[in-house]
Amino acid sequence: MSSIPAAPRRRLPKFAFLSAITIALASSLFAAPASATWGVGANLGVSVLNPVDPGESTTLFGAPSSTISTLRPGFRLSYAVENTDGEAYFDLGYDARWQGSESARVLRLGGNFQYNFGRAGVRPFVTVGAGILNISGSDFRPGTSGVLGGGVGVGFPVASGAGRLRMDVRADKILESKYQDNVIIGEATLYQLGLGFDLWIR
Amino acid sequence: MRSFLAAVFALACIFAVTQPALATWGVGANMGFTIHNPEGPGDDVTMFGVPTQSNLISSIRPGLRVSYTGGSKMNHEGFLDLSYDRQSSGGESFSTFRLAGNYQYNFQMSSSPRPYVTFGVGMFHEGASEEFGDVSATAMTFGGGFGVGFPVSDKAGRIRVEARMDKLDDADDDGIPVIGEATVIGIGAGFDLWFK
Repeated sequence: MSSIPAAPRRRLPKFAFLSAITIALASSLFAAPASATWGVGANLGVSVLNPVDPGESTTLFGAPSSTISTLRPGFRLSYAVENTDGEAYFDLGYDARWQGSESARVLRLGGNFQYNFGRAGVRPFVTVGAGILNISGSDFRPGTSGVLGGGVGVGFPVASGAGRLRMDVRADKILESKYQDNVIIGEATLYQLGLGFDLWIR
Repeated sequence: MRSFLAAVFALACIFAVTQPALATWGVGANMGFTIHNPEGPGDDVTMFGVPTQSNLISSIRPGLRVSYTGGSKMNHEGFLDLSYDRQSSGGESFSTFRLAGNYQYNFQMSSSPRPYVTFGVGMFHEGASEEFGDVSATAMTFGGGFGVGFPVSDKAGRIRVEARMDKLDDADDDGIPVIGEATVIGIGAGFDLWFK
């Protein structure tokens, strides 16, 4: 009996994870890798977690964003090709805590594609991506949910193009993760309004 | 109040040793391991964060950095280590805030990587508000560390690897213990973007 509902539980996060990898890889193939640039960045801002099931919304603020408390990934690993408008990035947040025999871990990883409008100066952008939210620990069952979403924002180049400041809004759908009849991660919508910065490593 | 004044004093010292006319500002982020070693009974807590955040369920280490340096050699540097985290739902809230003013000396080397030493003082605030009442307290932190900075992107950025140890004082709210005395050890990495 229990093996029947297990299939969709496992398929969905796997689909989201593969989607994240596919989006990131596809984005990186837009142009010649000879002029590729990697970047690291950080995120901060407000998130509103709106559960689908009954329950009040939770407003979260993190500077920087922390996955275990604000659910928003706080670290960004970007990949761009110079003189193109496309950009790929991983949004990543990982928090782990060990105390005696107890532990708790939260991972959020998403592969995203970003299209930057305009050619120079201030550049608006749209972004879309998919990923996973994984929780595990010694006192509760592990769960992995798929996360799908997108957003809009504006990027401001700084330091002669070696860096960028970002303002963005984004909405993500967190899908439900269940173990047998128990909900591990509840279905919810996560709205985010935030700031960020990137350093292009040249 | 004492911890807040200490942080302000540390910042004032930083501005005094740099040259405002040649000032460069930067922002950065931190990530890595943190070990929280309480003075009283209780197990050590080992935490890892990407990025780090100073709430008590993640890593206590500030995750954002606002840097300031003066002079073309960038030997003297001041920075604010900063984290703010707040969760609120249905009239209840929980927040933590950590702010520290730090001084960093970057050694001049013939090669590109620059070792550094740093020390600073600041505050750690924790507050909770729920239907039974509010509780909050602010503790003083002070400590230092060392690391190596690797300039990137024609010196518009820097990658850091560092180790640091801070002392966290205890603090209470009208006799209710809120923050326990502890030693916080951090080993991690980070990056900075300079606004040139």
